[in-house]
Amino acid sequence: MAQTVRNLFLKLAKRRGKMLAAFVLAAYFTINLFPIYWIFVTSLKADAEVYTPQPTFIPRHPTFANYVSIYTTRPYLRYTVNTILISVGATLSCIFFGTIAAYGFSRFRFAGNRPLRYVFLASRVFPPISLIIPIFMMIGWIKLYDTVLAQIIVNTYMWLPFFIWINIGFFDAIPRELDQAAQIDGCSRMQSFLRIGFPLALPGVAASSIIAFLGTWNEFLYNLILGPTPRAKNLSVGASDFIADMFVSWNQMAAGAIIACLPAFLFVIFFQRYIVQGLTSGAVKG
Amino acid sequence: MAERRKQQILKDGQFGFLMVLPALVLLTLIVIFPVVYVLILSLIDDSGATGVWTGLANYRKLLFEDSKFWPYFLNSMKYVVFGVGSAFVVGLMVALSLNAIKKLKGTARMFALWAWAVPPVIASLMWKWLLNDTNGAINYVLMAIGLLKNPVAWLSLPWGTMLILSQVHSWTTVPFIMVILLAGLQTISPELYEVASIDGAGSFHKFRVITFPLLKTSILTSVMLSAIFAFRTFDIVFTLTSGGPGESTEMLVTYVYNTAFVSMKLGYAAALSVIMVLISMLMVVLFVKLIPTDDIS
Repeated sequence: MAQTVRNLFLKLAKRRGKMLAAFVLAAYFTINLFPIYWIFVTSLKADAEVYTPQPTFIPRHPTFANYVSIYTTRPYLRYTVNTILISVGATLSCIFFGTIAAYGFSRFRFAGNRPLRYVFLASRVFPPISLIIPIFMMIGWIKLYDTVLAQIIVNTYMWLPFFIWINIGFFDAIPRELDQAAQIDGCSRMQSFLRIGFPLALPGVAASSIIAFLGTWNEFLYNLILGPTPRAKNLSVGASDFIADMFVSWNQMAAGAIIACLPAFLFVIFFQRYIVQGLTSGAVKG
Repeated sequence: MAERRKQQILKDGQFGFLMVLPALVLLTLIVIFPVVYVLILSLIDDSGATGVWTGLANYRKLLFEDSKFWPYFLNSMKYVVFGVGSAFVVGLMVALSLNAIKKLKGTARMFALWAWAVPPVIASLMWKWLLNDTNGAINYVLMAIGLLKNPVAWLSLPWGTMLILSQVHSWTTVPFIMVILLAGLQTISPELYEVASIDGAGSFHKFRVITFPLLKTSILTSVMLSAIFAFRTFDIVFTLTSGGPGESTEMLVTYVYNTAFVSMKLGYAAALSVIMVLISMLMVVLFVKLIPTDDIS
Protein backbone atom coordinates (compact mmCIF):
# COMPACT_ATOMS: atom_id res chain seq x y z
CA MET A 1 0.00 0.00 0.00
CA ALA A 2 2.66 2.44 1.06
CA GLN A 3 4.61 1.44 -2.02
CA THR A 4 1.75 2.26 -4.43
CA VAL A 5 1.11 5.60 -2.74
CA ARG A 6 4.78 6.40 -3.06
CA ASN A 7 4.81 5.44 -6.75
CA LEU A 8 1.72 7.52 -7.40
CA PHE A 9 3.37 10.45 -5.68
CA LEU A 10 6.54 10.05 -7.74
CA LYS A 11 4.53 9.85 -10.95
CA LEU A 12 2.70 13.04 -10.03
CA ALA A 13 5.94 14.78 -9.18
CA LYS A 14 7.38 13.73 -12.50
CA ARG A 15 4.35 14.96 -14.41
CA ARG A 16 4.46 18.24 -12.48
CA GLY A 17 8.10 18.59 -13.49
CA LYS A 18 7.22 18.07 -17.13
CA MET A 19 4.38 20.59 -16.93
CA LEU A 20 6.71 23.12 -15.38
CA ALA A 21 9.23 22.46 -18.16
CA ALA A 22 6.56 22.91 -20.81
CA PHE A 23 5.47 26.18 -19.19
CA VAL A 24 9.06 27.52 -19.07
CA LEU A 25 9.57 26.62 -22.73
CA ALA A 26 6.27 28.17 -23.84
CA ALA A 27 7.08 31.41 -22.01
CA TYR A 28 10.64 31.52 -23.31
CA PHE A 29 9.75 30.82 -26.92
CA THR A 30 7.09 33.51 -26.88
CA ILE A 31 9.68 36.09 -25.85
CA ASN A 32 12.28 34.53 -28.13
CA LEU A 33 10.21 34.40 -31.30
CA PHE A 34 7.71 37.23 -30.99
CA PRO A 35 10.18 40.04 -31.85
CA ILE A 36 11.19 38.16 -35.00
CA TYR A 37 7.57 37.53 -35.95
CA TRP A 38 6.73 41.15 -35.24
CA ILE A 39 9.49 42.60 -37.40
CA PHE A 40 8.44 40.20 -40.17
CA VAL A 41 4.77 41.26 -40.15
CA THR A 42 5.79 44.92 -39.88
CA SER A 43 7.85 44.50 -43.05
CA LEU A 44 4.68 43.39 -44.86
CA LYS A 45 2.52 46.33 -43.79
CA ALA A 46 1.74 49.58 -45.54
CA ASP A 47 2.21 52.88 -43.66
CA ALA A 48 -1.45 53.18 -42.61
CA GLU A 49 -1.30 49.87 -40.79
CA VAL A 50 2.02 50.68 -39.10
CA TYR A 51 1.38 54.15 -37.75
CA THR A 52 -1.68 53.36 -35.72
CA PRO A 53 -2.07 53.00 -31.97
CA GLN A 54 -3.86 49.68 -32.58
CA PRO A 55 -1.40 47.43 -34.36
CA THR A 56 -2.66 44.32 -36.17
CA PHE A 57 -1.05 40.98 -35.37
CA ILE A 58 -1.78 39.59 -38.83
CA PRO A 59 -1.32 42.13 -41.62
CA ARG A 60 -4.65 42.96 -43.27
CA HIS A 61 -3.16 43.85 -46.64
CA PRO A 62 0.25 42.15 -46.84
CA THR A 63 2.54 43.75 -49.40
CA PHE A 64 6.14 43.48 -50.54
CA ALA A 65 6.22 47.21 -51.28
CA ASN A 66 8.73 47.89 -48.48
CA TYR A 67 11.21 45.41 -49.92
CA VAL A 68 10.85 46.88 -53.38
CA SER A 69 11.16 50.36 -51.95
CA ILE A 70 14.44 49.82 -50.06
CA TYR A 71 16.04 48.25 -53.12
CA THR A 72 14.93 51.07 -55.41
CA THR A 73 15.23 54.19 -53.21
CA ARG A 74 18.23 53.18 -51.07
CA PRO A 75 21.55 51.58 -52.09
CA TYR A 76 20.39 48.25 -50.67
CA LEU A 77 21.62 46.26 -53.63
CA ARG A 78 25.09 47.63 -52.97
CA TYR A 79 24.85 46.84 -49.23
CA THR A 80 23.74 43.29 -50.03
CA VAL A 81 26.57 42.69 -52.50
CA ASN A 82 29.09 44.25 -50.08
CA THR A 83 27.91 42.07 -47.20
CA ILE A 84 28.15 38.91 -49.30
CA LEU A 85 31.63 39.83 -50.59
CA ILE A 86 32.92 40.72 -47.13
CA SER A 87 31.52 37.58 -45.48
CA VAL A 88 32.68 35.20 -48.21
CA GLY A 89 36.09 36.91 -48.43
CA ALA A 90 36.74 36.89 -44.69
CA THR A 91 35.55 33.29 -44.33
CA LEU A 92 37.75 32.08 -47.20
CA SER A 93 40.79 33.85 -45.82
CA CYS A 94 40.09 32.36 -42.37
CA ILE A 95 39.91 28.91 -44.00
CA PHE A 96 43.13 29.49 -45.94
CA PHE A 97 45.29 30.95 -43.17
CA GLY A 98 43.48 29.16 -40.38
CA THR A 99 43.51 25.53 -41.48
CA ILE A 100 47.15 25.66 -42.55
CA ALA A 101 48.20 27.22 -39.24
CA ALA A 102 46.00 24.89 -37.18
CA TYR A 103 47.48 21.86 -38.97
CA GLY A 104 51.00 23.18 -38.33
CA PHE A 105 50.22 23.63 -34.63
CA SER A 106 48.56 20.24 -34.35
CA ARG A 107 51.10 18.11 -36.21
CA PHE A 108 54.58 19.53 -35.71
CA ARG A 109 56.74 20.23 -32.70
CA PHE A 110 58.66 23.47 -32.85
CA ALA A 111 59.96 25.98 -30.37
CA GLY A 112 57.10 28.26 -29.39
CA ASN A 113 54.28 25.97 -30.46
CA ARG A 114 52.47 26.25 -27.11
CA PRO A 115 53.17 29.95 -26.39
CA LEU A 116 52.17 30.97 -29.92
CA ARG A 117 48.81 29.23 -29.52
CA TYR A 118 48.17 31.43 -26.53
CA VAL A 119 49.29 34.54 -28.42
CA PHE A 120 46.56 33.78 -30.94
CA LEU A 121 44.04 33.10 -28.22
CA ALA A 122 44.99 36.24 -26.30
CA SER A 123 44.35 38.43 -29.33
CA ARG A 124 40.69 37.48 -28.95
CA VAL A 125 40.61 39.10 -25.54
CA PHE A 126 41.03 42.63 -26.94
CA PRO A 127 37.68 44.36 -27.28
CA PRO A 128 37.43 45.38 -30.97
CA ILE A 129 36.77 48.98 -29.97
CA SER A 130 40.10 49.19 -28.14
CA LEU A 131 42.03 48.67 -31.37
CA ILE A 132 39.83 50.78 -33.59
CA ILE A 133 41.99 53.93 -33.49
CA PRO A 134 45.25 52.34 -34.74
CA ILE A 135 43.38 50.16 -37.24
CA PHE A 136 41.51 53.21 -38.52
CA MET A 137 44.87 54.96 -39.06
CA MET A 138 46.57 51.93 -40.64
CA ILE A 139 43.70 51.41 -43.07
CA GLY A 140 44.13 55.09 -44.00
CA TRP A 141 47.90 54.70 -44.56
CA ILE A 142 47.45 51.80 -46.96
CA LYS A 143 44.67 53.73 -48.72
CA LEU A 144 41.96 51.15 -48.06
CA TYR A 145 39.56 53.45 -46.21
CA ASP A 146 35.97 52.82 -47.31
CA THR A 147 36.74 49.63 -49.25
CA VAL A 148 35.39 46.09 -49.12
CA LEU A 149 38.98 44.80 -48.90
CA ALA A 150 39.56 46.67 -45.62
CA GLN A 151 36.41 45.04 -44.24
CA ILE A 152 37.66 41.59 -45.27
CA ILE A 153 40.98 42.27 -43.51
CA VAL A 154 39.51 43.45 -40.21
CA ASN A 155 36.96 40.64 -40.10
CA THR A 156 39.69 38.09 -40.76
CA TYR A 157 41.53 39.52 -37.74
CA MET A 158 38.40 39.13 -35.63
CA TRP A 159 37.73 35.50 -36.52
CA LEU A 160 41.12 33.96 -37.35
CA PRO A 161 42.22 33.35 -33.73
CA PHE A 162 38.94 31.58 -32.92
CA PHE A 163 39.19 29.65 -36.17
CA ILE A 164 42.75 28.42 -35.54
CA TRP A 165 42.05 27.61 -31.92
CA ILE A 166 39.09 25.32 -32.51
CA ASN A 167 40.56 23.71 -35.64
CA ILE A 168 43.66 22.64 -33.71
CA GLY A 169 41.23 20.53 -31.70
CA PHE A 170 39.62 19.09 -34.81
CA PHE A 171 43.01 18.17 -36.33
CA ASP A 172 44.15 16.66 -33.03
CA ALA A 173 41.15 14.33 -33.20
CA ILE A 174 42.36 12.83 -36.52
CA PRO A 175 44.78 9.93 -35.94
CA ARG A 176 48.36 10.85 -36.89
CA GLU A 177 48.84 7.38 -38.36
CA LEU A 178 46.76 8.44 -41.34
CA ASP A 179 49.16 11.26 -42.31
CA GLN A 180 52.16 9.04 -41.67
CA ALA A 181 50.73 6.31 -43.89
CA ALA A 182 50.21 8.89 -46.64
CA GLN A 183 53.80 10.06 -46.31
CA ILE A 184 55.09 6.51 -46.53
CA ASP A 185 53.07 6.18 -49.72
CA GLY A 186 55.03 9.10 -51.12
CA CYS A 187 52.95 12.14 -50.24
CA SER A 188 54.82 15.28 -49.20
CA ARG A 189 53.80 16.91 -45.91
CA MET A 190 51.77 19.53 -47.77
CA GLN A 191 50.06 16.85 -49.85
CA SER A 192 49.18 14.82 -46.77
CA PHE A 193 47.59 17.98 -45.32
CA LEU A 194 45.62 18.65 -48.50
CA ARG A 195 44.58 15.07 -49.23
CA ILE A 196 44.19 13.59 -45.75
CA GLY A 197 44.11 16.19 -42.97
CA PHE A 198 41.93 18.84 -44.57
CA PRO A 199 39.20 16.53 -45.95
CA LEU A 200 38.95 14.62 -42.68
CA ALA A 201 38.72 17.84 -40.66
CA LEU A 202 36.06 19.22 -43.00
CA PRO A 203 33.12 18.93 -40.57
CA GLY A 204 35.09 20.98 -38.05
CA VAL A 205 36.19 23.45 -40.70
CA ALA A 206 32.54 23.80 -41.74
CA ALA A 207 31.45 24.43 -38.16
CA SER A 208 34.04 27.17 -37.60
CA SER A 209 33.46 28.66 -41.07
CA ILE A 210 29.73 29.02 -40.46
CA ILE A 211 30.35 30.85 -37.20
CA ALA A 212 32.98 33.11 -38.79
CA PHE A 213 30.64 33.78 -41.72
CA LEU A 214 27.72 34.74 -39.50
CA GLY A 215 29.96 36.82 -37.25
CA THR A 216 31.26 38.76 -40.24
CA TRP A 217 27.78 39.15 -41.70
CA ASN A 218 26.59 40.63 -38.39
CA GLU A 219 29.60 42.91 -37.82
CA PHE A 220 28.71 46.51 -37.03
CA LEU A 221 31.40 48.63 -35.36
CA TYR A 222 34.24 48.36 -37.88
CA ASN A 223 31.83 48.74 -40.76
CA LEU A 224 30.40 51.88 -39.20
CA ILE A 225 33.84 53.46 -38.79
CA LEU A 226 35.74 52.15 -41.80
CA GLY A 227 32.94 52.10 -44.37
CA PRO A 228 30.93 55.31 -44.10
CA THR A 229 29.58 55.36 -47.66
CA PRO A 230 27.68 52.76 -49.71
CA ARG A 231 31.01 51.69 -51.25
CA ALA A 232 31.73 49.38 -48.31
CA LYS A 233 28.65 49.60 -46.08
CA ASN A 234 27.04 46.34 -44.96
CA LEU A 235 23.43 45.40 -44.18
CA SER A 236 23.79 45.82 -40.39
CA VAL A 237 24.88 49.45 -40.65
CA GLY A 238 22.48 49.95 -43.58
CA ALA A 239 19.55 48.89 -41.40
CA SER A 240 20.62 51.16 -38.56
CA ASP A 241 20.60 54.14 -40.94
CA PHE A 242 16.80 54.15 -40.81
CA ILE A 243 16.69 55.30 -37.19
CA ALA A 244 18.97 58.23 -37.98
CA ASP A 245 16.27 59.63 -40.28
CA MET A 246 14.06 62.51 -39.15
CA PHE A 247 10.99 60.40 -39.76
CA VAL A 248 11.72 56.76 -39.02
CA SER A 249 10.15 54.48 -41.59
CA TRP A 250 9.65 51.45 -39.38
CA ASN A 251 8.15 49.18 -42.03
CA GLN A 252 11.05 49.83 -44.42
CA MET A 253 13.50 49.33 -41.57
CA ALA A 254 11.74 46.03 -40.86
CA ALA A 255 12.19 44.93 -44.48
CA GLY A 256 15.90 45.80 -44.26
CA ALA A 257 16.13 43.88 -40.98
CA ILE A 258 14.58 40.75 -42.49
CA ILE A 259 17.04 40.90 -45.41
CA ALA A 260 19.93 41.21 -42.94
CA CYS A 261 18.60 38.22 -40.97
CA LEU A 262 18.09 35.84 -43.90
CA PRO A 263 21.43 33.99 -43.74
CA ALA A 264 21.05 33.69 -39.97
CA PHE A 265 17.65 32.00 -40.34
CA LEU A 266 18.74 29.74 -43.21
CA PHE A 267 22.05 28.72 -41.63
CA VAL A 268 20.36 27.84 -38.36
CA ILE A 269 17.74 25.73 -40.15
CA PHE A 270 20.16 23.84 -42.37
CA PHE A 271 23.41 23.77 -40.38
CA GLN A 272 22.21 23.65 -36.79
CA ARG A 273 24.42 20.65 -36.01
CA TYR A 274 27.56 22.44 -37.19
CA ILE A 275 26.71 25.64 -35.33
CA VAL A 276 26.19 23.75 -32.09
CA GLN A 277 29.45 21.87 -32.65
CA GLY A 278 31.33 25.11 -33.33
CA LEU A 279 29.85 26.85 -30.30
CA THR A 280 30.46 24.01 -27.88
CA SER A 281 34.01 23.25 -28.98
CA GLY A 282 34.80 26.97 -28.99
CA ALA A 283 33.43 27.31 -25.48
CA VAL A 284 35.17 24.28 -24.05
CA LYS A 285 38.50 25.26 -25.48
CA GLY A 286 38.58 28.89 -25.00
CA MET B 1 60.10 6.61 -44.41
CA ALA B 2 63.63 7.35 -43.33
CA GLU B 3 64.63 7.65 -46.95
CA ARG B 4 61.92 10.18 -47.69
CA ARG B 5 62.92 12.21 -44.69
CA LYS B 6 66.41 12.68 -46.14
CA GLN B 7 65.01 14.30 -49.26
CA GLN B 8 63.14 16.92 -47.25
CA ILE B 9 65.06 20.15 -46.99
CA LEU B 10 63.19 21.42 -43.93
CA LYS B 11 62.93 19.56 -40.67
CA ASP B 12 59.40 18.77 -39.46
CA GLY B 13 59.54 21.51 -36.85
CA GLN B 14 60.64 24.11 -39.37
CA PHE B 15 57.93 23.02 -41.76
CA GLY B 16 55.33 23.31 -39.00
CA PHE B 17 56.50 26.80 -38.14
CA LEU B 18 56.33 27.72 -41.81
CA MET B 19 52.70 26.65 -41.85
CA VAL B 20 51.92 28.87 -38.86
CA LEU B 21 53.93 31.80 -40.23
CA PRO B 22 51.38 33.36 -42.65
CA ALA B 23 48.74 33.59 -39.94
CA LEU B 24 51.34 34.90 -37.51
CA VAL B 25 52.47 37.66 -39.89
CA LEU B 26 48.84 38.65 -40.44
CA LEU B 27 48.20 38.71 -36.72
CA THR B 28 51.33 40.77 -36.06
CA LEU B 29 50.29 43.37 -38.60
CA ILE B 30 46.71 43.68 -37.49
CA VAL B 31 46.84 43.02 -33.74
CA ILE B 32 50.31 43.28 -32.26
CA PHE B 33 51.28 46.44 -34.15
CA PRO B 34 47.96 48.20 -33.26
CA VAL B 35 48.39 47.21 -29.61
CA VAL B 36 51.83 48.79 -29.50
CA TYR B 37 50.53 51.81 -31.36
CA VAL B 38 47.59 52.32 -29.02
CA LEU B 39 49.91 52.04 -26.02
CA ILE B 40 52.19 54.76 -27.42
CA LEU B 41 49.24 56.93 -28.39
CA SER B 42 47.87 56.71 -24.87
CA LEU B 43 51.03 58.42 -23.59
CA ILE B 44 50.59 61.43 -25.85
CA ASP B 45 48.82 64.67 -25.05
CA ASP B 46 46.20 65.41 -27.70
CA SER B 47 45.01 68.85 -26.65
CA GLY B 48 47.53 70.63 -28.89
CA ALA B 49 47.79 70.35 -32.64
CA THR B 50 50.86 68.14 -32.51
CA GLY B 51 51.21 65.36 -29.97
CA VAL B 52 53.41 65.96 -26.95
CA TRP B 53 54.72 63.13 -24.79
CA THR B 54 52.97 63.30 -21.42
CA GLY B 55 53.70 59.96 -19.85
CA LEU B 56 50.83 58.69 -17.75
CA ALA B 57 48.97 62.00 -17.62
CA ASN B 58 46.04 60.68 -19.67
CA TYR B 59 45.59 57.77 -17.27
CA ARG B 60 45.86 60.01 -14.23
CA LYS B 61 43.26 62.34 -15.66
CA LEU B 62 40.93 59.45 -16.52
CA LEU B 63 41.10 57.67 -13.20
CA PHE B 64 41.22 60.63 -10.81
CA GLU B 65 39.86 63.75 -12.48
CA ASP B 66 37.37 62.63 -15.11
CA SER B 67 33.86 62.84 -13.64
CA LYS B 68 32.52 60.55 -16.38
CA PHE B 69 34.88 57.61 -16.18
CA TRP B 70 33.64 55.90 -13.01
CA PRO B 71 29.90 56.32 -13.68
CA TYR B 72 30.41 54.95 -17.20
CA PHE B 73 32.53 52.11 -15.84
CA LEU B 74 29.75 51.30 -13.39
CA ASN B 75 27.22 51.32 -16.25
CA SER B 76 29.38 48.88 -18.21
CA MET B 77 29.43 46.59 -15.19
CA LYS B 78 25.66 46.91 -14.73
CA TYR B 79 25.16 46.01 -18.38
CA VAL B 80 27.35 42.91 -18.03
CA VAL B 81 25.88 41.77 -14.71
CA PHE B 82 22.20 42.40 -15.55
CA GLY B 83 22.51 41.18 -19.13
CA VAL B 84 24.56 38.04 -18.55
CA GLY B 85 22.97 37.34 -15.16
CA SER B 86 19.46 37.13 -16.53
CA ALA B 87 20.65 35.33 -19.68
CA PHE B 88 22.23 32.71 -17.42
CA VAL B 89 19.13 32.20 -15.28
CA VAL B 90 16.86 31.93 -18.33
CA GLY B 91 19.39 29.84 -20.28
CA LEU B 92 19.71 27.38 -17.40
CA MET B 93 15.93 27.10 -16.97
CA VAL B 94 15.41 26.52 -20.70
CA ALA B 95 18.25 23.98 -20.91
CA LEU B 96 16.91 22.03 -17.91
CA SER B 97 13.39 22.10 -19.37
CA LEU B 98 14.54 20.89 -22.78
CA ASN B 99 16.54 18.16 -21.11
CA ALA B 100 13.49 17.16 -19.04
CA ILE B 101 10.93 16.88 -21.83
CA LYS B 102 13.39 15.06 -24.14
CA LYS B 103 11.09 15.71 -27.08
CA LEU B 104 11.54 18.35 -29.81
CA LYS B 105 15.01 19.14 -28.53
CA GLY B 106 16.38 19.78 -32.03
CA THR B 107 13.45 21.93 -33.15
CA ALA B 108 13.44 23.96 -29.95
CA ARG B 109 17.18 24.50 -30.17
CA MET B 110 16.81 25.63 -33.76
CA PHE B 111 14.21 28.28 -32.92
CA ALA B 112 16.22 29.40 -29.91
CA LEU B 113 19.36 29.81 -32.02
CA TRP B 114 17.63 32.28 -34.30
CA ALA B 115 17.92 34.95 -31.65
CA TRP B 116 21.64 34.20 -31.36
CA ALA B 117 22.28 34.34 -35.12
CA VAL B 118 20.28 37.52 -35.78
CA PRO B 119 22.71 40.47 -36.17
CA PRO B 120 22.83 42.18 -32.75
CA VAL B 121 22.06 45.52 -34.33
CA ILE B 122 18.91 44.03 -35.86
CA ALA B 123 17.91 42.59 -32.48
CA SER B 124 18.32 46.07 -31.08
CA LEU B 125 16.19 47.62 -33.86
CA MET B 126 13.49 44.95 -33.35
CA TRP B 127 13.22 45.85 -29.69
CA LYS B 128 13.37 49.56 -30.41
CA TRP B 129 10.28 49.08 -32.56
CA LEU B 130 8.53 46.84 -30.00
CA LEU B 131 9.25 49.39 -27.25
CA ASN B 132 8.22 52.39 -29.38
CA ASP B 133 6.08 54.73 -27.29
CA THR B 134 3.39 55.65 -29.82
CA ASN B 135 3.07 52.61 -32.09
CA GLY B 136 4.92 49.87 -30.22
CA ALA B 137 3.44 46.43 -29.67
CA ILE B 138 4.48 46.20 -26.01
CA ASN B 139 2.56 49.29 -24.95
CA TYR B 140 -0.42 48.08 -26.95
CA VAL B 141 -0.47 44.65 -25.32
CA LEU B 142 0.08 46.00 -21.81
CA MET B 143 -2.73 48.54 -22.27
CA ALA B 144 -5.06 45.96 -23.82
CA ILE B 145 -4.73 43.63 -20.83
CA GLY B 146 -5.13 46.58 -18.47
CA LEU B 147 -1.63 46.69 -16.95
CA LEU B 148 -0.98 50.18 -18.27
CA LYS B 149 -3.28 53.17 -18.55
CA ASN B 150 -1.08 55.34 -20.73
CA PRO B 151 1.72 54.45 -23.13
CA VAL B 152 5.18 54.46 -21.56
CA ALA B 153 8.29 55.81 -23.30
CA TRP B 154 10.37 52.78 -22.30
CA LEU B 155 13.64 54.09 -23.65
CA SER B 156 13.36 57.46 -21.94
CA LEU B 157 12.98 56.26 -18.37
CA PRO B 158 15.96 57.68 -16.48
CA TRP B 159 15.81 54.90 -13.87
CA GLY B 160 14.92 51.86 -15.93
CA THR B 161 16.48 52.21 -19.34
CA MET B 162 19.71 50.46 -18.36
CA LEU B 163 17.65 47.51 -17.17
CA ILE B 164 15.72 47.34 -20.46
CA LEU B 165 18.90 47.75 -22.51
CA SER B 166 20.62 44.91 -20.66
CA GLN B 167 17.59 42.67 -21.18
CA VAL B 168 17.78 43.22 -24.93
CA HIS B 169 21.38 42.05 -24.70
CA SER B 170 20.18 39.09 -22.66
CA TRP B 171 17.71 38.18 -25.42
CA THR B 172 20.63 37.75 -27.84
CA THR B 173 22.74 35.77 -25.33
CA VAL B 174 20.31 33.20 -23.87
CA PRO B 175 20.61 30.78 -26.85
CA PHE B 176 24.41 30.62 -26.56
CA ILE B 177 24.34 29.84 -22.84
CA MET B 178 21.48 27.40 -23.35
CA VAL B 179 23.33 25.46 -26.08
CA ILE B 180 26.49 25.13 -23.96
CA LEU B 181 24.55 24.07 -20.87
CA LEU B 182 22.40 21.61 -22.83
CA ALA B 183 25.56 20.03 -24.26
CA GLY B 184 26.88 19.76 -20.71
CA LEU B 185 23.63 18.25 -19.42
CA GLN B 186 23.68 15.60 -22.12
CA THR B 187 27.04 14.29 -20.91
CA ILE B 188 25.61 13.54 -17.44
CA SER B 189 24.75 9.85 -17.20
CA PRO B 190 21.01 9.27 -16.48
CA GLU B 191 22.02 6.40 -14.18
CA LEU B 192 23.28 8.91 -11.64
CA TYR B 193 19.75 10.32 -11.34
CA GLU B 194 18.24 6.84 -11.11
CA VAL B 195 20.55 5.93 -8.26
CA ALA B 196 19.68 9.18 -6.52
CA SER B 197 15.95 8.51 -7.00
CA ILE B 198 16.29 5.09 -5.40
CA ASP B 199 18.01 6.79 -2.50
CA GLY B 200 14.96 9.02 -2.26
CA ALA B 201 16.49 12.31 -3.40
CA GLY B 202 14.09 15.08 -4.45
CA SER B 203 14.57 16.96 -7.68
CA PHE B 204 16.12 20.00 -6.01
CA HIS B 205 18.50 17.80 -4.10
CA LYS B 206 19.43 15.97 -7.31
CA PHE B 207 20.14 19.28 -9.00
CA ARG B 208 22.36 20.39 -6.13
CA VAL B 209 24.41 17.19 -5.79
CA ILE B 210 24.54 15.90 -9.37
CA THR B 211 23.63 18.48 -12.00
CA PHE B 212 25.30 21.57 -10.60
CA PRO B 213 28.74 20.11 -9.80
CA LEU B 214 28.95 18.27 -13.13
CA LEU B 215 27.78 21.33 -15.02
CA LYS B 216 30.18 23.72 -13.28
CA THR B 217 32.70 23.94 -16.13
CA SER B 218 29.99 24.52 -18.75
CA ILE B 219 28.44 27.19 -16.55
CA LEU B 220 31.71 29.01 -15.94
CA THR B 221 32.90 28.93 -19.55
CA SER B 222 29.57 30.05 -20.99
CA VAL B 223 29.23 32.84 -18.43
CA MET B 224 32.85 33.91 -18.92
CA LEU B 225 32.58 34.15 -22.69
CA SER B 226 29.22 35.90 -22.48
CA ALA B 227 30.55 38.40 -19.94
CA ILE B 228 33.60 39.22 -22.06
CA PHE B 229 31.40 39.72 -25.11
CA ALA B 230 28.83 41.77 -23.19
CA PHE B 231 31.57 44.11 -21.96
CA ARG B 232 32.62 44.91 -25.54
CA THR B 233 29.14 45.11 -27.07
CA PHE B 234 28.74 48.36 -28.91
CA ASP B 235 26.03 47.92 -31.55
CA ILE B 236 23.11 47.32 -29.16
CA VAL B 237 23.67 50.36 -26.94
CA PHE B 238 24.61 52.54 -29.91
CA THR B 239 21.35 51.90 -31.75
CA LEU B 240 18.93 51.34 -28.86
CA THR B 241 19.71 54.29 -26.57
CA SER B 242 23.03 55.80 -27.78
CA GLY B 243 23.83 56.52 -24.16
CA GLY B 244 20.56 58.20 -23.30
CA PRO B 245 18.35 59.31 -21.74
CA GLY B 246 20.79 61.87 -20.39
CA GLU B 247 23.91 59.85 -19.75
CA SER B 248 22.17 57.00 -17.98
CA THR B 249 23.33 54.31 -20.41
CA GLU B 250 26.71 55.73 -21.41
CA MET B 251 29.37 53.03 -21.00
CA LEU B 252 33.08 52.60 -21.64
CA VAL B 253 32.44 51.42 -25.23
CA THR B 254 30.40 54.50 -26.11
CA TYR B 255 32.90 56.68 -24.26
CA VAL B 256 35.79 55.38 -26.42
CA TYR B 257 33.71 55.91 -29.54
CA ASN B 258 32.69 59.46 -28.61
CA THR B 259 36.14 60.50 -27.40
CA ALA B 260 37.84 59.19 -30.53
CA PHE B 261 35.35 59.94 -33.28
CA VAL B 262 33.22 62.80 -31.95
CA SER B 263 35.59 64.89 -29.81
CA MET B 264 38.67 63.58 -31.71
CA LYS B 265 40.82 63.24 -28.60
CA LEU B 266 42.85 60.27 -29.80
CA GLY B 267 45.40 60.10 -26.98
CA TYR B 268 42.71 60.16 -24.32
CA ALA B 269 40.62 57.59 -26.21
CA ALA B 270 43.72 55.38 -26.51
CA ALA B 271 44.27 55.49 -22.75
CA LEU B 272 40.61 54.55 -22.29
CA SER B 273 41.08 51.67 -24.77
CA VAL B 274 44.05 50.35 -22.82
CA ILE B 275 42.00 50.41 -19.64
CA MET B 276 39.25 48.44 -21.40
CA VAL B 277 41.80 45.82 -22.49
CA LEU B 278 43.08 45.54 -18.92
CA ILE B 279 39.54 45.06 -17.59
CA SER B 280 38.89 42.34 -20.20
CA MET B 281 42.10 40.56 -19.22
CA LEU B 282 41.19 40.81 -15.56
CA MET B 283 37.84 39.18 -16.31
CA VAL B 284 39.59 36.30 -18.11
CA VAL B 285 42.08 35.79 -15.28
CA LEU B 286 39.28 35.83 -12.72
CA PHE B 287 37.24 33.20 -14.54
CA VAL B 288 40.23 31.00 -15.42
CA LYS B 289 41.08 30.92 -11.70
CA LEU B 290 37.54 29.69 -10.99
CA ILE B 291 37.56 26.93 -13.62
CA PRO B 292 39.15 23.66 -12.45
CA THR B 293 42.45 23.55 -14.38
CA ASP B 294 42.22 19.97 -15.62
CA ASP B 295 39.18 20.92 -17.70
CA ILE B 296 40.96 23.45 -19.88
CA SER B 297 42.96 21.81 -22.57
